[in-house]
Amino acid sequence: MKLAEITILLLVMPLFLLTTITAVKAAGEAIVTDADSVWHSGLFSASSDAINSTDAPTQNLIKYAFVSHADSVWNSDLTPPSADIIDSADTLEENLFKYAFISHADKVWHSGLISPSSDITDSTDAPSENLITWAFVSHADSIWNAELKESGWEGRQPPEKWSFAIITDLHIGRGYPDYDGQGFEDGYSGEDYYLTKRLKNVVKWINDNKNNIDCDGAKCPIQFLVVLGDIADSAEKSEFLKAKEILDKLNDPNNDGNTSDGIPYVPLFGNHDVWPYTNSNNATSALGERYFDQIFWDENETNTKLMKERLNFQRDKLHKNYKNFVFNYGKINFVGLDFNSRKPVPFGKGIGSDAVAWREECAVPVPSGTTCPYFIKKQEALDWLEKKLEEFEGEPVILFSHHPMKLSIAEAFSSPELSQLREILKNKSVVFDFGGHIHSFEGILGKFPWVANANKEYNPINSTQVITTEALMVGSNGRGVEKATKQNGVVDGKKGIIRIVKVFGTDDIRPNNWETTEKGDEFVGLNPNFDYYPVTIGGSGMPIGYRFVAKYFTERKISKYKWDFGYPIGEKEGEEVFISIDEIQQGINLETYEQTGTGVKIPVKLTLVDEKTQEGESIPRKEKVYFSYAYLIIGPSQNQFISLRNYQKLTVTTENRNGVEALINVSHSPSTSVGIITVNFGEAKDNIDLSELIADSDIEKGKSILYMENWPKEVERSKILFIPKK
Amino acid sequence: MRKEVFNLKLFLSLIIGILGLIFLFFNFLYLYAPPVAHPYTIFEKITTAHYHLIEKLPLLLRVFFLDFLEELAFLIFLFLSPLAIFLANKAYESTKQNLAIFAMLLNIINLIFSIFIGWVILGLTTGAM
Repeated sequence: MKLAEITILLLVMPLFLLTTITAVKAAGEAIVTDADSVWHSGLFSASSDAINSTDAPTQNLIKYAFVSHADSVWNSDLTPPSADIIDSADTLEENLFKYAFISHADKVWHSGLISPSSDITDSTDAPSENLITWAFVSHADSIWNAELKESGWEGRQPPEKWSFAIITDLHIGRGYPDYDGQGFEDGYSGEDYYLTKRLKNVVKWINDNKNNIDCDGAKCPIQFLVVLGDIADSAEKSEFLKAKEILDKLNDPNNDGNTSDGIPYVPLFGNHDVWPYTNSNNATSALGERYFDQIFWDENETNTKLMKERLNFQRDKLHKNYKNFVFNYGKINFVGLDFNSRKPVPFGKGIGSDAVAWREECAVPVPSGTTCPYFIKKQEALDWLEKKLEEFEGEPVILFSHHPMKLSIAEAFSSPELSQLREILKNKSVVFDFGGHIHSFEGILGKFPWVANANKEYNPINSTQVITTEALMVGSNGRGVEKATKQNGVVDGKKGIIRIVKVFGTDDIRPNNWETTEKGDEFVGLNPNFDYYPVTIGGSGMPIGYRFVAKYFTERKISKYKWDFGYPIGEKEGEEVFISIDEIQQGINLETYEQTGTGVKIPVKLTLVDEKTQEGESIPRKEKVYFSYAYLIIGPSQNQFISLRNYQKLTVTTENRNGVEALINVSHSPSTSVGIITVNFGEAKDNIDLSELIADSDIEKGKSILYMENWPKEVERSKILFIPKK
Repeated sequence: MRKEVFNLKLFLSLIIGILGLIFLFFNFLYLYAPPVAHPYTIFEKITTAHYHLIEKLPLLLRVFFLDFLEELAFLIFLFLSPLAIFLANKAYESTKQNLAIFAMLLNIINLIFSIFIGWVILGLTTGAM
C-alpha cells in the first residue's frame, strides 16, 4: 500500500504544486509619506514598518512610485486622471503628461508608476529616475522626455482597397559560426550569401509588385511590410546591419533619395534577436535590445520617419527594452508585442524559444546574494496590449507577435498564459494575431518533416485568428507542398513566404495570399551548408588533406554541387570533395591563401543548383585548416602509394608528428595493403622522399615486397609486411 | 493450482504503462501536430478535437491536462516508467508472469518514448527555432 500511496502522490504532486503557485498572488500597497526620497516602493503591504505622517494628506497610497524631493504627491496610481480630478490653479492647464521625468516639482498629481529603464538619460538636476506617468505637474523646474497625450493624427489617406505584406524569421547570419569578423559587436561587412540574396529578392519582388496586387479586379497596393522577428540569427550587430541595409531598399526603391514611391517596414523583435553570441563568445546580457533600438529605431531615420508619418507609429517608451508598439493605417489599429524571454538558456547559447507572457521580478534592487523582500509580476507586453485594446475599443485591431498565440510550452505559450490572453482578448475586436517563430530547421528536427509548412492557421483565441507564415530562412524548400490548401500558400509545388494581407474594408480582411498565389513566383530554398573533416593516414590523426561534405536543408532535387576554393585550387564538383594539403600549399606559395598562426584560411564557396529551376544558392566561408611542411613523397610508380583514398602524393601533418604509422597499399586490382612503415615527421627537415620505394603484392603467389635501397632516416627500421594467403 | 490473487504491484505497473502510453502519445502529438483551425492530417484532427474538449474545462483542469500531462508528460513518465518497470519486475514471480512481461515492455517503450520527446523538446527550446 505504501508504494501505491507514493505513486498516487507522484501523480498528484504536480497538480498540487501548480495550484499553490497559482494561488500566490502579488498583492499589497505602500503607505509612504513625507519622505525626502522614496524609491521602488512597490507592492509592500501596509505593515507596521510603513511610516505614517500626520503631515500627509490622508490616503497617501502609493504603488511603485519613484519620487524624490517632491513637496506633495497625492493619489499616485496607474490610472489616468478622470474627470473628477480637481484641477489646481497652480497646475498648467490640463497638462497631462505621459512618461515624464520630473524634478523639483512643487506638486505632482496622479503620478502613475513605472519602473525606470536603464537607458533613460538622467539629468543632474533631476532626482534619479523619477519616471512618472500620467502626471499633473505644476511649477516643475524640469520635465524630461515628456510626451503629450496624442492628438488626432490623420496620416495618409489610404486607398479604398489596400494590402500589407508579412515576412518572418530572416535569420541573417545562419550558417556562419561568426558573421562578419570576430565577435558580435561588429560592423557593416557581413557576408553576402543565400539568405541575404533571398531577402534581396523578396524586397525586389515587393518593390516590383507592390502596386499590382489584385483585389477582385481592383488594385490594392502594398502599404507596408511587417518583419515578424528573428531578423538576426545570433543577434550580432552585423546581422542586424545587413538586414537593415537590404530592407532599406523598400523605403527608397530607386535609390534616388525620394521615398514617395517607397514603403516603410515594421520590424519586430524575435527570440534570436535578444542575446548575441558567436561560436567563441557569448554576451553576458541581452545586448540585442540595444542593437535593435539603435539600428532599427534610433539611427534609422528614413524608415522611422516613414513609419511615423504614414503609420503614426508609436513605441512603448516606458519599457524601451521591450519592443512593444502600435500603429494605425486605414482605420485599423496594429499592435506589436514582444513576448521574448530575456534569460539565457541553461545549455547552449542565446535565449529560450518559448514565449514569456509574465515573469516575477524583485520589487526593489537588492545586492547580489541578498534575498529579495518582495517579488512583483511584470508583464509589459500584456499591459501594453490591455491598455491599447481599451484605447481602441470598438475599432478593428490586428496583432503582431513573434510568438504566435498558440499552445506549446516549448515554442510558444503555456496554457495559463494563453488563458490570460483569452481574457484580455475577450469581447475585443481583435481580428488576427500574425506570428512567426514556428518553422522547421536543419538541426535534429530537420531530419523529420517537422512543421513541414509554417503557413498555418492555429486554433483561434476567442474570435482572433492565429496565423503563422513560413520563414524566409526556410524558403520554398519542397516541404509541405504535397497538397495545396487555402491556408498553406502552395501552388504547383511552390511554397509562399511573403504573406499578403488584402484589406477590402475594415470588416473584410483576407490574409491568405502569397507571391505564389499572386504571380506564381517562388523563392527557392536549398539552404546549403557544409562540414569539413581532416583526412588522416591510418588513423594516426595526421591530415593529408581535407574532405568537404555538402549539407542542405531542402527536399528539392539538387542537380549540381559546385565548390570554389579560389586560386589555385579552383573549382571542384560533387557532394563530397577532397583537397590535399599539397594543393593548399600551392595557395600559400602563391600567397593567395592567408596564413594564420599554425594554420591557413582557405576560401570555400559551395553552390547548390536546383534541378527544376536551375537557380543556385551559395554560401561562402573562410575555413581554417592545419598542417605542417614535411612531405612524404611517394611514387612515381603507379602502384605504389600510401593511403586511405589512393592519393599519389601525400602531405602529412600533426601536432604529434613522430611515430606515425603509414599504410602502404598497391592500387592494382584488387587493391591490397602491402605493409606499414612508421615515420617520424618531427625529425624531418624537408620532404621525405620515398620515390625509390618498391612495394608490391602478388596474391596468386602469396608474395609481397616492401623494399628501398636507402630508407630515409625518418622511417623507423622496424616495418610490417603483409604476406597474402594463397 | 495456485490461487489467483489481485496483485497491486502489477496492477499499478499496468495502469502507469497504459496511462503513460496515452499521455505520451498526446504529448508527442501536441508537438508534432498542434491543434489548428483547419485540420488537414489525421494527427491534426485528433489534437484539434481533443483541444476543443479540453478547452471547455475550468482553468486548473485545463492546465493539468494540457501543461502537465500532455506537454510535460515525458518528464513525469521519465520517472514513473522506471518505477513501473521495477513494480512489474517484483510481480514477475506471481501467477501472472505474462502480464508482468507485458507491463515491463509497455513501460520500457514509454521510457524510450519519454527520452525521445525530451530530446525533441530540448532541440526546440535551445534556440534552434
